[in-house]
Formats: sequence, C-alpha cells, structure tokens
Amino acid sequence: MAGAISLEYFERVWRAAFRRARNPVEGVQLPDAAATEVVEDVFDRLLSRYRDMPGEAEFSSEALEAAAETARHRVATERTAAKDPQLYHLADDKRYGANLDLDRLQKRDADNAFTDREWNGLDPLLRPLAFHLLQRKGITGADAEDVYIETFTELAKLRASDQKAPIESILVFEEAVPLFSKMIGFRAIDWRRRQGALKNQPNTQHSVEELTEREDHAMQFEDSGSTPGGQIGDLSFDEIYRQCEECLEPFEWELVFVIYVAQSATMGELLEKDEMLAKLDLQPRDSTSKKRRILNDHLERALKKLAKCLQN
Amino acid sequence: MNHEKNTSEIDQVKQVLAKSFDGSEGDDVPPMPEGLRDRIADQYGRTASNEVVKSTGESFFSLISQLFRKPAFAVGMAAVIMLVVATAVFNRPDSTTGQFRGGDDPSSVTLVLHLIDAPTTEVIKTSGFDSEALKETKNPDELGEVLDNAGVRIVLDGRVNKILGYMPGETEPAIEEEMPSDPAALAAKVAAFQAKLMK
Repeated sequence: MAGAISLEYFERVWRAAFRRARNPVEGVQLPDAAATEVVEDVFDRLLSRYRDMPGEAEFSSEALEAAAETARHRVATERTAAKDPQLYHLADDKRYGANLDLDRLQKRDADNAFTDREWNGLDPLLRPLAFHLLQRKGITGADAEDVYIETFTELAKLRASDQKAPIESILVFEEAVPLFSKMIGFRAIDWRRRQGALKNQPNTQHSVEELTEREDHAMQFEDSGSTPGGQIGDLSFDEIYRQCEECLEPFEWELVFVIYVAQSATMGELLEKDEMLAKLDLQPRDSTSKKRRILNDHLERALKKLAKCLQN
Repeated sequence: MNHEKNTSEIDQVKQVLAKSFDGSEGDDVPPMPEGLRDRIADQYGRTASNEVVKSTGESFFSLISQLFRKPAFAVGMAAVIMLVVATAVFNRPDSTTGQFRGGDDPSSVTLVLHLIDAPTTEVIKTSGFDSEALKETKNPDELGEVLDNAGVRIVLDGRVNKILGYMPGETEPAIEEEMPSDPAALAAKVAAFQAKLMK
C-alpha cells in the first residue's frame, strides 16, 4: 500500500518467491542454494526495474513469475548441459515414471516436423492421464480415443499465429502434463460443442484453435476438477494477476492482495490507517460499521470481477 | 439460488487467492540476505523497517492504542508487546539532536523498575533497551539516585503498585496512577505518560 512499506512485506515476497523458485513446476525441485541464487537474481532485476515501489500486488506477481521462469530456464539449461533429463526431477512424482528428453522432443527435422524417436515414449506416458481426465468429463470409449488422438497430434502442430508447436512452449518436460491437460480440456469442450450436448456453457462458441492460441486463454484447468465452465484449479498469484490484471483497478488489487493473498492485515487493521480511510472516502469519525461496510463493498466487487475472470 | 451461486464462487476465489502465495515463515526458507535488506531500505526509502512503531510521538501513540484494541493477549505476548513499545519509546533518537538519550540529557527519558517482580524485570531487560534508558532499583537510596537524572523519569513502583511520571528537573511526580496489572495496558500507560511528560 502507499505510505510506509515494511521489510516484513519484502520478506514475505522473498519466502514466496523462494518456494516458487525451488518448485517452479510440479515435479521439479531445485536445491536450496540454486533457488536462493535465482531469487537473489530476481530481486536484483526487480529493484533495477522498479526505481520506485509499484503496488504490492504488482511487485509480488512479478517476483513470483520471474522466480518460476528463471528457475525453469536454469533447470532446462543444466539438463541440456549435463545431458540428463532427470536432473532436478522429483523421484516421487506420481504422475509418471521418468522424464523424456525434452530437447529431443522439440527437435525439428529438415521438414520442420517433430520426428525424433523420443516421441514414441510420449504416448504411453500421456495416455493414462488423458483418459482419466476425459472419464471425469464423461467422455469414454471410442469417443475418448478420438479426442485423445486429436489432442496428441496437436502437440506437434505448428500454430498459425507464431509457427510454433505447443510442445515448444514448455521449458521443462514436467510442464507437458499440465499443458496436455489444458489441451485435453479444450478438446473436450469442443467435442461436446460438436455433439450439441451443452449449448449454454462458456466458451462453446469458440473453436479449439481460438481457445488454444489466444494468450488470454493461457489459464490451465487442472485435472483435479475442471469441467466445462466449472471449478478453478490451483493457481499461483502471478498467474492470477497476469490473467486478470486489467479486470481490477489498482486499488482493488491492493485490497485483494493484502486481505486474501498475503493476508498481511485484517480489515480492521486496514481501517485503522488514515491513508486507507482517505482512499475509501471515509472519515476517522465514521462509525466502525460504516467503515467495514464500505470496505466490504469494495472487496466483494473485486472478488466478483475475479470470479468472472477466472471462470473464463 | 443466484445469490448462493455467487457466494459459492466468491468463496472459491478466496480459497484460490489464499493458496496462490505462500510467504509464511518457515525453516524451509533461508533468510533474506542482509545486503538485499539494506538495498531495499535504501532504495524504497520509506519505513522499510520491522519496527512496530513510527518515529513521531502522536502517530506512535495512536499505534499503541491500536495495538491494545486487539483481543486480549496471553500475558507472555503482552509482555513482549510492551517491550517492543517501550524499546521504541525509550531508544528512539532524539528528534533534534539525532542522538540516543542518556541520563544527563534533559531531553532523555528513563524507565525505572522499582521493586518490580523478577520475571517481568528480566523480560524487560532482555528486550533490547538502551542501558542508559532503563534502570532497576531495589531500595529508596537507589531510587533517589536515579530520580536525580535530568530528564523525564517514569517509575514503575512495585512497592506501591503505581506508575509515576516526573518532568525534567522535578523531584515530585507530575502524574501518578495505579499500575495496571495487565502488561498490555501497562505498556499503553507508559506510552501515555511519555507523551504527556514530553510535551
């Protein structure tokens, strides 16, 4: 918030960014020393970039995103250098056995096709995950096979927008699972649309290509619950902020961040600060109930906007 | 039905937000390097500090009042808060000279613990007080000697269970009240005395 900024806030961000750097993606874990280097580098860049402190929501989002991205790059670089696709892979990752070699999966031949033999190992790895997801969406048997094959083929298909294939959008192999989960989710929606079963669900008017190529549909519907127009999965704050930044006013972001994300202050504590009262057009002499009602109204409006953004 | 759906969606968003950022303390995370802390404090200038209190008397006092509007603390926690408050009160630099106060400085403030029970005394003494700002006395002679100090003196007198405030240069207390048994209330009282006596 504007006004005094406590080191306690930056220490929270340090801890959150460290945890994000240490586990940038499910199934990957950097050693503590490497994660520390990543976060130090992130803070160095942010302090160079933001000569004046931006809002806490923005700074936190940038820190988390940069921590995850820098960590992923580090993992990718070190795996390539060591020729070891298993480097930093968590042995107890229950989603599948061992990593495939992403460098080989991303290698194009002379015709710009992906034909490395490493692709032979991808089908047996993704198939069980995909069928599990499709079953939860009520798609089974031959229909599930069709949806799966269409989606698998799409992994290596160059997009019209940037001539890159989805397999090239990931930095570490562990991202293949959430990537494929997202793609299967969109294919399932499209399948249902073609079946005419759900006319009024969100996104049913879009083609799969529109859904998968648009940047603002970059949200990942986790396999833990996604049904068309249904649950929101687990998301990191930077993912939420990136997706929904324009949906909230900066002041709404600050309120949401302090109260619900970092949980660094209660509503009562916020209402004790004169600068907060001024932003809410309140006076110190206003009653406690009035102050709480006004603050609650702001928060509820912001949350409704976020709910709408995250469901889309 | 629509209201229930909205409430459910909002609850879901709150859960997602709560899980989206883990800045909690934990042994699994190394501390922020000192150099980085200093850089942040230098660059962003403002109160990049962990102090509970601010540096101006008036805003400090309102902060103390805010502290004690919270639900009642356990005695141990309240004592810790008192230490933070009192440390900030008695160790902050003098606003005109920028120097920490000493006993001979008329603008100094001294907290005197006269016959205060040992556990409370120990907690206060290990809180980080400047040694010149905190005195412990066990008999009238010692108390008399400390009261000869030039500046403001606030005495917690365990013998008569009172808190007494002395203006600079005065030998009779300017204000005197019953000493609250609740450490949280006591800290607030100390702050209030300090504010009155420093005017």
